[in-house]
Amino acid sequence: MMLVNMQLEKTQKHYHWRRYSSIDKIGEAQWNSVWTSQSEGWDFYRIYENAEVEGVKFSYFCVYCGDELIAIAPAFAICFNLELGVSEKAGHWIRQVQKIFPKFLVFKSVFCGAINSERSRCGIRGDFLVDSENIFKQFASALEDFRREEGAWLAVFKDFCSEDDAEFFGLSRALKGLGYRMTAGLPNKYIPIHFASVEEYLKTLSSSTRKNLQRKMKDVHSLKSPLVVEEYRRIDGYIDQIYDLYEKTYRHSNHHFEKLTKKYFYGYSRELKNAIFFLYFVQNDGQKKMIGFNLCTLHRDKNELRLFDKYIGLDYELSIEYSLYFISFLKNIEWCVANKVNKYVLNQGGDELKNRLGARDIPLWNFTKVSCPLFKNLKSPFSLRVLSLIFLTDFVQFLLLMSLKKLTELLVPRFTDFLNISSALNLFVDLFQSWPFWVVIFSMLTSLIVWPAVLSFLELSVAFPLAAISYVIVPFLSVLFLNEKISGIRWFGILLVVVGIAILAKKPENGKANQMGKDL
Amino acid sequence: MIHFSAFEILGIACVISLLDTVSQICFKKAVDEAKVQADSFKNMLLLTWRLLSQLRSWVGMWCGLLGLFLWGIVLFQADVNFIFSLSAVHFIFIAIGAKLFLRESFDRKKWIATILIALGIFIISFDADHQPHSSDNISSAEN
Repeated sequence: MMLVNMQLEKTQKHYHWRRYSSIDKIGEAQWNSVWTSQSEGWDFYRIYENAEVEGVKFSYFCVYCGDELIAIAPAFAICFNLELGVSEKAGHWIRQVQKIFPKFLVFKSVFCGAINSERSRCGIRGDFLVDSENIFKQFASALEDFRREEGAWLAVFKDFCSEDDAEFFGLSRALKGLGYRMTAGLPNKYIPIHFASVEEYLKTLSSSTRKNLQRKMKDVHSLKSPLVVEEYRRIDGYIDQIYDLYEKTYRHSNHHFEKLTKKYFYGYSRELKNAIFFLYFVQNDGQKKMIGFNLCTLHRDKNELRLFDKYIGLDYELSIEYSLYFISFLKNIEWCVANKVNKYVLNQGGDELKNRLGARDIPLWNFTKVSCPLFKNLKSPFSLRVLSLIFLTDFVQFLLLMSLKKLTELLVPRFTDFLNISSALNLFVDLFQSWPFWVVIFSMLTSLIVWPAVLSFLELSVAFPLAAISYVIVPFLSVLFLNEKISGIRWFGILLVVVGIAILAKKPENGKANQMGKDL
Repeated sequence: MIHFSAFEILGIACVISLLDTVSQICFKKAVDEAKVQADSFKNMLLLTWRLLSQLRSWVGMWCGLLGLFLWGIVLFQADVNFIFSLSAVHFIFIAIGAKLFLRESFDRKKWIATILIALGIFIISFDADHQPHSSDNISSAEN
């Protein structure tokens, strides 16, 4: 081990990275030299890249030690359109705005990791795994470069699994101090296959789930048109029907990411050796109608055989009648048992149902870095930090004025108390016991800290008018908490303030105030 | 008990604005002098500490306190919303002060923005329908 470490210390300085826009530029032999036991590799990424999926741009980070390729990480940039993640009505309005401003609510992000896989993996040559921290530092640098090139706000190391010890350890250490935040992602689910038959699997479930599944199976068998399941490796003849079912499921789903193309499914059929298509047909008057498909991939990883359930496409009208989701699930279990598969890995989402079906979690983690100018650029009046300081100042100011008003209500009627020592003392005692007095003191002290902080970023002639945002906030607060009414003309005044603030905050540079920042 | 008319309140608001302008200019000069950018809580405290050691910030603080005292008197006579809206003139004073004493850069956009904000606040403060506690109201209530 010591020898290896010494060797690495020598070579560390020679690490460098290159980015490739296409997997073909790396070459299959080179790729496979570092991407050894991982489940989805060269052919998977090649299919995806050539599938011409709209809005997805791939990049491959290669880390070299000298001239030797020692690690590869796939990455991609994608535009996340908020329109896809909201209700149909809200989506409609967003689409209308997007006709005029195409980039409205479209956020570009760059990801390092697998675009659609069981979990993200990076290919690191075995003898360099011990130095994965430094290799991931190279990946982080490449991702930052990719982010800048794409003008993205988010950089994410996506869906890394804490079970992959060396990789995960290296990744989490490498990203320390680089501004990444670790958050739990949606876990993948799996069912360990340690039973000899589907019946045995059913016995492991709760009685209600078991009875429910058995009833569904019985119902399907009693239907007039029988359900036929066929297993294919190549599906060229069925591609249109499969894509039609995929689109139906895509439209039905609330969560969208990227929309796959027909070419993608062709690729799976023609180029991926380990893809299995389960097609579900209904025999009706001598005609076969496809009502569902299930695309799975088979992987051997670390001496473990896994069936990964990738996509399901359903004809929703008929699939409910045929309980197709459950039937395909049981079919896959049956297939796993027959083919001695160790784990049946399900895709993300639908946790509650999958838990009832006996699924266990594969915890996945995301490391996210936000590089939005709103958060980063301290010299901009739009900087979140400066704005929050201004909001805080305004809030404190509001608090100060409110409590000052209360304090004067207490003091003014007893003004003559100051003429007599004992009554003045009583007044002071009352003053110290009243909450407005302490709120005034607290607000003044806070102002003394917060406002100079704002002034350290901005010119006074910018900061002060920006603080006028309180003229917008205070009326709202007055309406909410003091039940005051705001007239139309006052709303007009508020509108003018808002326009003024918008012009001021849009000013590209705010000159001298930040000269100090530059000097520092 | 002294009661102020709406115009007197406006006059006092001008004096308060003047005092606050002096206070703001003193503070800004002191902040520039302190040469600390408050990008962390620690630096915020460091900035405050350095300000406390400067005469300018003390002048600013006293002007601010005097202004606050006057606010207190005026506040007793009018509602928070009305008084808070009165200081339209504040923005003009600050802009002129920043231009003259701090030599801050001003272009047309900045003037327009400042004037729009001041105008907005002026409109808010002269919204006659919504001056609930003018001195007359208070007097009649007392009678």
